Amino acid sequence: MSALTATRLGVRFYLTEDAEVDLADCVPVFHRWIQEEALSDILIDVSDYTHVPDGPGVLLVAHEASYGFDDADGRLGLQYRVRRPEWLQGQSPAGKWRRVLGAAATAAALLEGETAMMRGARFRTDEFDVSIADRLVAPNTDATLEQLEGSMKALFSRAFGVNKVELRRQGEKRTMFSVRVRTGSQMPVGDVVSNLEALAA
Amino acid sequence: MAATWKEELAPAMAPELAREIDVFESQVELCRQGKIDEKIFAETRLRRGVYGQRYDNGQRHDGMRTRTLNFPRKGLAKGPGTEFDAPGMMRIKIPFGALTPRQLEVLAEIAEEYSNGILHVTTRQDIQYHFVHLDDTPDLMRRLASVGITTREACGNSVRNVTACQVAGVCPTESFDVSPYAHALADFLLGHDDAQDFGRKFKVAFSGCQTPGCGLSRMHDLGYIARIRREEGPEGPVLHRGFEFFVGGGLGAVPQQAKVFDEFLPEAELLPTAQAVCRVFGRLGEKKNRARARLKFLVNKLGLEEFRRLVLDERAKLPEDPRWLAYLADIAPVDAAIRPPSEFNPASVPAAMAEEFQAWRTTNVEDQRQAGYAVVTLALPLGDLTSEQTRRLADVARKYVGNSVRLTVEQNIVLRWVPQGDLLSLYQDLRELRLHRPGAGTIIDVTSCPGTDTCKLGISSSRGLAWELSERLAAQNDSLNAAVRGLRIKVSGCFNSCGQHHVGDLGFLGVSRKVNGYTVPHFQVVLGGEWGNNAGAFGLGVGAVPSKRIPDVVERITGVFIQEREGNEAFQAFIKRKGKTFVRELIQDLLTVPAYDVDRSFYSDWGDPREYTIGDLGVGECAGEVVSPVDFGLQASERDLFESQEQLEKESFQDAADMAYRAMLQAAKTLVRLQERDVADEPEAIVEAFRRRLLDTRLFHDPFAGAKFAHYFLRAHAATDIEASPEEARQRIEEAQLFIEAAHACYGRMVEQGLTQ
Repeated sequence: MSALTATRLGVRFYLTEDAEVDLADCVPVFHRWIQEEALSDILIDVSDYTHVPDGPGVLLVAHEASYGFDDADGRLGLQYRVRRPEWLQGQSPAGKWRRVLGAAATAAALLEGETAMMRGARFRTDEFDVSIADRLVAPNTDATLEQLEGSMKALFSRAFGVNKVELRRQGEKRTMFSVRVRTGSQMPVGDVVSNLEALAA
Repeated sequence: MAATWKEELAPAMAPELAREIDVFESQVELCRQGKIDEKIFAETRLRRGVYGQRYDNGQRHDGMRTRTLNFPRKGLAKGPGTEFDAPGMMRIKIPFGALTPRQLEVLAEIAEEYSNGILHVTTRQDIQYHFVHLDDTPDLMRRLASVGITTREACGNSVRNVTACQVAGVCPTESFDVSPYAHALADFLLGHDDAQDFGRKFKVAFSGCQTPGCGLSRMHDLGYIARIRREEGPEGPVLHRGFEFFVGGGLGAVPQQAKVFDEFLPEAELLPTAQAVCRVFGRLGEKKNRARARLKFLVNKLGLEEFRRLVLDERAKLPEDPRWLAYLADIAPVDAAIRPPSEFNPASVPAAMAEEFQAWRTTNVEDQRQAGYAVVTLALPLGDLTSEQTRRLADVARKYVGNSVRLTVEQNIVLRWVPQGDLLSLYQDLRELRLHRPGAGTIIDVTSCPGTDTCKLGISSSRGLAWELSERLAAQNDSLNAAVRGLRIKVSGCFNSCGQHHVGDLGFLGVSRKVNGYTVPHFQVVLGGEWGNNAGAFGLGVGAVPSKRIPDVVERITGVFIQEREGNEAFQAFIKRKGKTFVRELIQDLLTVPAYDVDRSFYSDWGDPREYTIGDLGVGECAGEVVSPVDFGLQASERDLFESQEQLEKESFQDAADMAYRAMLQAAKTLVRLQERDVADEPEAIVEAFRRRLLDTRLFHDPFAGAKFAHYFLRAHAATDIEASPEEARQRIEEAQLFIEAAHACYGRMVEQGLTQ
């Protein structure tokens, strides 16, 4: 089965290196997002895993996806991951990445707006990670990347307003498929959301 | 690569395991189509470890109001009051906690793909995953099955995970290694016919010794403590292996110590006696009143002597089963060293690391019985570790200990057979993974159930409190008196005691109190339990304290303990001597709750900023639904019929006809076993018994159609070797449908006439 059919897609945006944010501050923020229905997902609950080193941090669990604010590998970031494959059903490969990137960027932009917690910290758009939590259709191999890179590069370059996007596969064979994407963009993450919405229109 | 996990893993799975999972998958499909009774499906999935989770009724209080979770397939249920699309918990049984590196890797994969990237170790040596969708569970089960792990009977009214002390086989004080016995009993009781008709869960534990006795045998339905009996034979002393055998223990809301059934149960009687107990429990145990359905209530009701008599009577009637003794012919340790023994060299520790290494070694390393080896404990924060940690732990295990990895009932992991000379190198490797936290088994190693984080029955945040206590005490660690450092704290989110608070030195169970019109989280304080000596004693309740004051309670009580203990008096003895009134007075001022506008923090629980409510409490699935073996059996026949219809649609006519016959055979067997429990599983035996018990007696006769439907079954049986045409397959299915309907009606008549066993 082709990696193009994969649906358990993930995107991770990183904060800039100078960000000073306390993970625990995200707990009340995510709870408030549920109260305010801040995202379009069916928001279910908040799970605090800040006691686990390099763990998922603070998770906002929705039916369709999960949003995790963590400091895995010593880098603060927002990890978005699709939980329900049917949410991407019927989408083209590029369409899937557009939706997933859009959802992640929307959450990242929203989080940037939480000024008390973020204290001006910003998410990078010059590099981010994408991953697929499905070892059956998308093992962490060069072959998987070959199948996906065309649609990924096309979408990412348009989303980030750049001509060239670099993809580098990471991790070992037994880990999830994961790619470091380098765009060189300085675009605010909120503008990425706008670009993706325009692409969808 | 195959298109599905089913295809990919078929070569790696035992056919019967693969078939079981396929059957479950078809039941999930029936549930998706609304074609299966909710109660039956709930118990079915519970018996496969697929559990509910908080908010699965589709309601959640967000701190301001109760909000409806509008799951896509609203109204579609996976159990009474349980939304199909609501995420659930998956419990994975790990018999006596033993894991291999390959199993660790697969467990890590599953955490990443179907859950939240976290593996949670429970107080019964299980692994739990949270936020798992029901649709993902069949593939999850397949991937586990491919490495020899089953989730069968992890929950529900069944024999739960069989636990054993984590140092079985390497313990200096054990009589003998109980691991092979725990393994044999777990295998024997898994799916056993005599263990399918319980009104409640059933828990079994093994311990290698009386003291220190970390197997907790005295608080289980069946508890075993290894014993050696020495007899003088003609050629010298003969040593016999056996067990001090306990029955009817349990925690829950009303804890009870198990009673001694037999001071020395010979090893040959381990399996058959357990089977006999299961039969008695299945036959006589309470099934309507869930609160009184555990084995302990039956033992109390009958009295131990009568209970023993019934069990031995049942034992005498059991048909011989070769499995009772087969494993004894080849008793062998479950694991062994992969590297030679060696001595630790203190001079090898770099100066910069000396202090932290020593702190770790003091608490997390114990010498094994076998010279030159040690057991190393990985103290997991609240029993959690990440998928990445798990994967790399597999590498560490392969490097130092091979298959000698065990989960513990204190929510940690141990590596056994670590050569002493490798301790520094191992520490450095664990440090890389951030699995080097010291304090295992000390007061900072707090045990907690999931509580309000994910459990429907959670009243207060057990994990929130546990972590708060752990962090505070860790910060004081250097200044803590050794007697305090050695205490155990256990926290349960409610009275069901999954955190085993009754056997902590300091135990806490979640409750709530109304204060000035607000609901405020509290914990009931329970002091002086004894974890050692196989759960030797239960603690004394002293009253409910606001959740936010519990750390102060711990500090005050432990402080007074140090000041006022007599000599080397143990904490348990101190509490007993001082009494409940003394402790109550000691913490009296800590029982108050500040007014809402003075300190709102009391009106939220640890780790949860929402204003506290008990509105999210749901109906627990711990008890499962009581579904009789007949319900299960007839449901299984209907499932087979469904599959036969699917085969017909695919134009696999022979398969369709075979499945339809199998559906009838299943229904016939279910009815026959009501009157003849030990009927063999062979079709000929079932058909013969069906004729004798149900056809010749006219029990199966339909008031209008007479024996017509019974003859459908007999004709299908006679035609099993004949190739079925498409028309015949279609007809067989129609007849199977009518036969199963007749089976339901027959069961109804048998119940009315009191003809069920």
